[in-house]
Amino acid sequence: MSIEKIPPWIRWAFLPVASPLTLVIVSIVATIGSKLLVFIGGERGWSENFYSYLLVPGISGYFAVMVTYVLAPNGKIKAAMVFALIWIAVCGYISFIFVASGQWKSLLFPISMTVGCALAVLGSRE
Amino acid sequence: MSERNSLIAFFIAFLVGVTIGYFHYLKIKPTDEQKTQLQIDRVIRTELCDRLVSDIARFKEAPHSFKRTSLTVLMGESRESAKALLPDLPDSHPIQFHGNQESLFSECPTNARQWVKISAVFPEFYEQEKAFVESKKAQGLSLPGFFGGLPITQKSTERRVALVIGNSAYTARPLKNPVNDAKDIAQFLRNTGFTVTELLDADLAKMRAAVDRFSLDLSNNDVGLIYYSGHGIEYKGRNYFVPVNASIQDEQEIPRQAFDATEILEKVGRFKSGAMILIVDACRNSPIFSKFRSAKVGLETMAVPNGMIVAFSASPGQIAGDGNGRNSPYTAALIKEAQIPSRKIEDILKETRRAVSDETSGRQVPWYNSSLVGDFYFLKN
Repeated sequence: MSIEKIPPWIRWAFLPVASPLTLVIVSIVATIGSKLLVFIGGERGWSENFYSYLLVPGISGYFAVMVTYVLAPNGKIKAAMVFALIWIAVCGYISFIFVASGQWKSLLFPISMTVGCALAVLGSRE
Repeated sequence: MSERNSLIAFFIAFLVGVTIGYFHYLKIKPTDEQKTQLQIDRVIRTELCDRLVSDIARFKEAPHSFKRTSLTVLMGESRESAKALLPDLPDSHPIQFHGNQESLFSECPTNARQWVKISAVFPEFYEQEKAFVESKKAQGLSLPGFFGGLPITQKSTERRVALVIGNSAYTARPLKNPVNDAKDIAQFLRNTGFTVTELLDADLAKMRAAVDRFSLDLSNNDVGLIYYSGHGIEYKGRNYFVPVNASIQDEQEIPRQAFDATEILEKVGRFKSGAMILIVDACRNSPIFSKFRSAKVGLETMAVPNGMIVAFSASPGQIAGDGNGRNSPYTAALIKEAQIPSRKIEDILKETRRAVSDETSGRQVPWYNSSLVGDFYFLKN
């Protein structure tokens, strides 16, 4: 079933839900995948921290924005941009909280997610 | 919008988020006490992880002569190190980890997190580890991961169950420490293999239900332990634990509104097969109770069924202190003494008595009454 067959008003209504939902689902799937890769990679593979702090948030951010691009009936780039800005603002908020509470290593998480969101917008412009 | 403008927009959005975070943080900023505790937690976490990693390295170097350090001892050492690493903290400030068990190992490497899932009381499992490492070395194979195909967790050979009750939120005269005492005792018991039910600020119905459930669970276990911290009162020769919802206006209401400790002895008296431990850190003085003519200060002695040990934080007729730190003097001393491995419970209680008596200049002298058959150790090497 093509997404174009879904009435535009349903797609618009679902858009605010789709982005956070995609973030959650992709995070879960990516986390499971990363645990498998850590297990398979063993001591020589990348550490769990690489996946948790770098790859998973980046991928989740990317797809959370990409889903809005795909779902929006029109003005796709603007819709993707709006959601990217929202998620990046959330990352800014989280970054400050981490800095204020001294959890410097955890800063990788929001930075990685910011990059993922930005790449989704910049990539969708092409 | 050009790419450059997009990047500027992202940067501005990030800054907006940071600004919102700043103003929100001003509202949720931790107090100085919370900041200190976060710092303590961080240091304890780091020290513990370092010790675990060093334990693993020692095992890999010499599996034959390796002797595992129990998690409780490692925690004790980590806390001592934290004390040394935080010289600005006053001596009286308690050094305890306040986070949950998950966060305790969150920054440890993966192999250290797996390591702690093997309880220190399973020497037979440790033998399996040694055999596994030796067999892999003999085959000239590199270990795929530290634990290979071995199971991560094992069940204890001795099944232990505990009920921990801490009542602080009394309406008329709240106490500061019983909930902290209960939490810390519960954590210690979990580390020594107990399945713990924790009951905080309980009313009479919850206390009764919890004791009923506990006495049913006993039949499937080898060791049972009940710990109570909160107000206690003696009336007509019987000891009562006061629930948080008690509103005792007259001494005759005590049996109706408070929990009769003798009920515990009657219910667990049917438990024949193992050791039963009752630890009571109660009888904190309350003006509510002191106005009653026949309600004496202090708790009464209790007859102890076979196979049981009962420990009180103060002798009959004495008052137990609530303490100025996180824990009462009795519970703080008990946890400290109990962490030393290969110590029988009687010796732990004796040392606790000595420590509390010294600390209170003899005003509070804990006592215990034992009819245990055989020895019980919280931790055994």
